Amino acid sequence: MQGTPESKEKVLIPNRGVIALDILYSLKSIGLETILLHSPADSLSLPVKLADKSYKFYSSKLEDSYMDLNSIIEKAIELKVNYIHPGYGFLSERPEFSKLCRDNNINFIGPEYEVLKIVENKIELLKTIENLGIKTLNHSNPITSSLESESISHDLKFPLIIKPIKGSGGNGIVIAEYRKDAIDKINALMQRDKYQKNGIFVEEFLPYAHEIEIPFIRDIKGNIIFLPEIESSVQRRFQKIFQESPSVNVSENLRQSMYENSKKIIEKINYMGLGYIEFIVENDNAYFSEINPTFQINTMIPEIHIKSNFIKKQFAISRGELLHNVNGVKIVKPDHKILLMSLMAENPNNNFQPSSGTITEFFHYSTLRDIFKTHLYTRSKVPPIYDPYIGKILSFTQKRETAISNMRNFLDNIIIRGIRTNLNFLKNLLDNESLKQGKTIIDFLNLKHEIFVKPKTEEEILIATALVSAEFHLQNRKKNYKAKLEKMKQPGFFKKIIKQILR
Amino acid sequence: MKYKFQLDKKNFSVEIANNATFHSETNIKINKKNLNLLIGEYDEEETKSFFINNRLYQIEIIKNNEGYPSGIYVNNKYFSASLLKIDSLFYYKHKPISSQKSGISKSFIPGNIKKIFYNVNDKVNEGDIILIHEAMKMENEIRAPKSGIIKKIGVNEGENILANHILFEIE
Repeated sequence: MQGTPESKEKVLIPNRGVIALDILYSLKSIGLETILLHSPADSLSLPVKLADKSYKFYSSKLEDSYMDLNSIIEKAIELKVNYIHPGYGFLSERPEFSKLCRDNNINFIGPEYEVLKIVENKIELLKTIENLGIKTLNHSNPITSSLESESISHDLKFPLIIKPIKGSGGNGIVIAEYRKDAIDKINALMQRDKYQKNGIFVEEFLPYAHEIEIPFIRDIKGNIIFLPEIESSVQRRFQKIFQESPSVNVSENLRQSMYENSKKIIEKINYMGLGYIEFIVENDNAYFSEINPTFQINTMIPEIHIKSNFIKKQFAISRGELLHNVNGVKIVKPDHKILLMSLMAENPNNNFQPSSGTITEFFHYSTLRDIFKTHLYTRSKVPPIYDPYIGKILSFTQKRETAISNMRNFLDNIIIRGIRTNLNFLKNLLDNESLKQGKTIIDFLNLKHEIFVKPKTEEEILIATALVSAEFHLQNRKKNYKAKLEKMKQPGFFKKIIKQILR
Repeated sequence: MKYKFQLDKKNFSVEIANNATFHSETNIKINKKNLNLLIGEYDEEETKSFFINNRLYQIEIIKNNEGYPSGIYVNNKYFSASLLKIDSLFYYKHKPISSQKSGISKSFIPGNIKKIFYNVNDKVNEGDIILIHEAMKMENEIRAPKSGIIKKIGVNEGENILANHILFEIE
């Protein structure tokens, strides 16, 4: 790994935000030269400041920047890089990108083309998994054109979840409560070229179930490390905002059976590298859902369990190194209870509408067992083009209750102004009794309206009144003063005054 | 000065000394309760905060079209607010919401136009999805605010727009 500066290996990172920061830190620390590709909108962002070198895309449009695989490869060849780390999101799950890298002798840090191809098509993947004898939720065949009302099978029980066959990040996913609703929503999606081209499908939706992910790493010899499961049931717009590990809703038996099934799946599709297998869990049944083929927002959780850097591990496996001290399967036992929350620039009281702008004030006070990772700082801009992500907050300790109360206290130590955030919403979430009792279910936010509107005390309203009137009073005074000044500027004003005095 | 405010559907009468600037500690009287107020920071565009009884509160005022407060964020918590009355000099009346719906639809946040489903002169019904506006990876379906004929479409597919841009007009 080590060498003179001239012989340093190079890694290209076509990603942004906290993702880029994570990769930059990890790969820099093992002696790689880090090269960042960034959009014009991100020119002043923190990753650009921390990368060894960075190059700018000519446009901030997604298709011309972070999603433009051809120009990324071109740049990689020009710069003679040894590796490309796609991060997560953007191009990380695109099989073609992995193939392009391989064809050009660049090591793509992530699964091979063949594996990504299997993982990408959710319907094909479900079929493969069903052939292994692993349970999945009832689902339809691919839908690629508008439907008549009878074309949804009567065997499927409502509510249904409508999902694009390819895609991630929660885009295009909707819930249908009844038949007419489903038909309308499917037909609306069918008006969009991208959904028509790749197809969509429907699956039974279990609002009271839990979403459980099993993180794993597999090396070229087939040795596997399994990490404690992560529960990420609490979601808004199908993106995770509260995650915990280990889950309180998984029994030891179920855990073992999920590990066994995961092993079967990984070996069947010959997955090498790092990933997460997602199950939907209800009444001690685990239904396979999908595979996330790269590290995720929650990378810190497995890191704490395994006590080492997850991205460095992923990198080592990609280079063909073997897992240390693992022969066959190793299951890591949790030492800690870990919680993770996502701080977003959005307004929870208005359907989580994202908010862009300049952060006028940003501060947090760290403690021993809380970690806050963010790529933003006072005066930095949140551009309107990207995910409204501000940062991730992690809290870990021995007991769940303490972790929750630590996290709650830590949220009070964050000050962020200038843009709308979900900070208060996160506080209300942690104050919620059901959450404290571990009753985290997939439809949590739809069933717990009190999280959005918390009753206010008399005193709070009184103080708000004082503030609003004081501000109004000051503004009013200012306006009066300005009006007086304007009056003085009018011709003849002083003559009038003098006349009055002389009289 | 005397004001009447409504906050979160409760009425309050407020009394503030005419010359109060809050640069030094000032008493204000709300429903016969006395509070002590002092400016923390007062920056026209950005940050504002006040001490009340020696505790710091950070605020952000939301204003309506006429420039009167319609809400306030206190330490990020939202309260709806409206000014009912100032002294007896003049009354501030709520304008009745016009029964005729406006056919103009504007973007409320910067973003990108992903897809437009209709053309000018097409007939649409209230609630039809006219276009898809993507902002920060969230796809918003922009629907027709009323039934009628599309008179104008102010955007093209793939165009990046700012907030308050006219998307389309229905007559």
